[in-house]
Amino acid sequence: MTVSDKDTLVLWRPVPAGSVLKASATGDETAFDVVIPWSRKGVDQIPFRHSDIVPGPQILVFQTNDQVALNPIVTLFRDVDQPLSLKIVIEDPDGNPVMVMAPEGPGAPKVAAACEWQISQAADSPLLLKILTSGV
Amino acid sequence: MRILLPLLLASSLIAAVPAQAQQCTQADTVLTCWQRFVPPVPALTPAQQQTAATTATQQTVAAANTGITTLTSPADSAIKDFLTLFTASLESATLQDSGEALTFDWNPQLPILGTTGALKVQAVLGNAQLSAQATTSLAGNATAISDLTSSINYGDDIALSLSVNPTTERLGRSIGPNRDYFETWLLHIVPPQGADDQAFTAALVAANMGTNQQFQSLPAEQRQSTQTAVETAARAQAAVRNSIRRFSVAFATLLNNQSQFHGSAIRTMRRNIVGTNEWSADLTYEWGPRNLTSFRKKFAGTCGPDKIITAAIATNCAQTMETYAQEAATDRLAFTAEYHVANQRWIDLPQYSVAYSIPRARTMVYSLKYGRPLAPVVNKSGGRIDLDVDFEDVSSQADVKNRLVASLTYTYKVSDTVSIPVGLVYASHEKDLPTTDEKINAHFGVLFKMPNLPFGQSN
Repeated sequence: MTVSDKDTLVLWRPVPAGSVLKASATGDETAFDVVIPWSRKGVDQIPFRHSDIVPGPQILVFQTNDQVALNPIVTLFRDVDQPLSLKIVIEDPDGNPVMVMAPEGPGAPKVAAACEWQISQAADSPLLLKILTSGV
Repeated sequence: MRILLPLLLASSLIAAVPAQAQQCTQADTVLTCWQRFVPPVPALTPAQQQTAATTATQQTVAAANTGITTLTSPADSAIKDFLTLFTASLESATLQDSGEALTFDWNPQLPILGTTGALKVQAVLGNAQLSAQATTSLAGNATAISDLTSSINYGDDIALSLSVNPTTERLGRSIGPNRDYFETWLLHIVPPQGADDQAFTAALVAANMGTNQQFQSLPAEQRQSTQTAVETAARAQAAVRNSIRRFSVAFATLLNNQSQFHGSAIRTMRRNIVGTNEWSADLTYEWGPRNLTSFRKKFAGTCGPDKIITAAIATNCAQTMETYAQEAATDRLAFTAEYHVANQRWIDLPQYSVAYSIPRARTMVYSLKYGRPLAPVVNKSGGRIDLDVDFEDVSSQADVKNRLVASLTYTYKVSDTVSIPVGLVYASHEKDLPTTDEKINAHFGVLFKMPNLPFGQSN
């Protein structure tokens, strides 16, 4: 089992230094907004704005023993036929997926640190996620 | 309505989570505990999954004015589909062959009222046909009809159109021009979370557990503290979600009530045996009573873009907006003026001994449409009333009288796919029949909208 794209809480660890988090979103630009407030080692940073993420990707490079938390907020202002999508992945410097501990715990095979969330109904908005990472 | 009801419903459900559900147990996993407070993302339907595949290819052009699919067959639903006529998407220039017509679309990136992509140019090479008058005049001469029909090609019926649908802070329901206002406000409502997130992460790391592991799988001394850490974080997340949801629902309600302006002009050029050359133009203004523009104007001194600079102001203004949006009526009013000229034409086909003329015809149509939901209820059933008054000024045409047509329609929406309309239609004259006056018709019907079928899907 891997991280579900329906989960609103994600824990990715351990993330090696030099790994690159990429956040991007697609959808009807007239109908949605996405921002990502985030923090590093407990200190709130300047949020990523819609213009950073769409089309993106907004990039964040992990430091040694880093600890990054993201709280993406996706707002959909009306129903859309084509779902909007927010994709967040962590890759190594060569662009390969970083493998992290599975949701089932340390004994399970590692999974790629990658998720894509989609919504199309305004009733499901805003989508508020929490992505916690811990580096090595 | 299609837009507002889900938003209002969603807002009302926030407080509807049973209290007993907001308590985790040792049998919970991190995720199931979290989901007691913060629900998972709803799964997409198969049809939504299918359309998702094409999202990426269209998102870069969706902000452009793509107009009605083809202006030569305009939609007639300004009220019922308020502001929904411009949702298709196109590349900056496209060429389509539907078999019936060859269509060229172009969105020149010229700034209009501060926005680009508001202009659309379209050329349609229609599937030209021998006109009814020509066919009638050639009655009995099958050879002539066959010869003339075979001589017709795409270039014999061309329509050129220009349409403008500006999107600004005051016009249109796109979030684009109001994005900075929304984001700045939203980010002031969201509290700083860095320290709490660091503590939450530390608790999960210390327990060395994944999000699908149960608390009871941990050593006894870690169970309660980890569960408490997850519960605390989940409660905080739910509180943030609640506050930003109330704000975003109010903002969306007002955004979707924004006024919209649309204008277009069409020039139709036809070969003489196909029809007349025509000019037409229309202007439409659609209005919702309480919208984002009216809010910004009314509360400019307290909640304007330059006033929201602290979390306290942002929160207070969000409450103000929520109250304002709750009182927002969902009435819709649309005014349209259309001008149409069909030029005089003389057709002379001596080889078939046929000659006839088509007189010049000029028409001005004024249309006022008003719509109001009568019973917005949560199960999507409900009533709606629509009033439509059209005045056709044809005073330039001989033998044709001006005409007033008014219709009052009550539509009961049984479900997403079935509606029952009941209507009264008054007409001062039958169209083009001046001897029939003061006519009233009653209509009753059942509308069934075909659901999207998952054709072409693979398992």
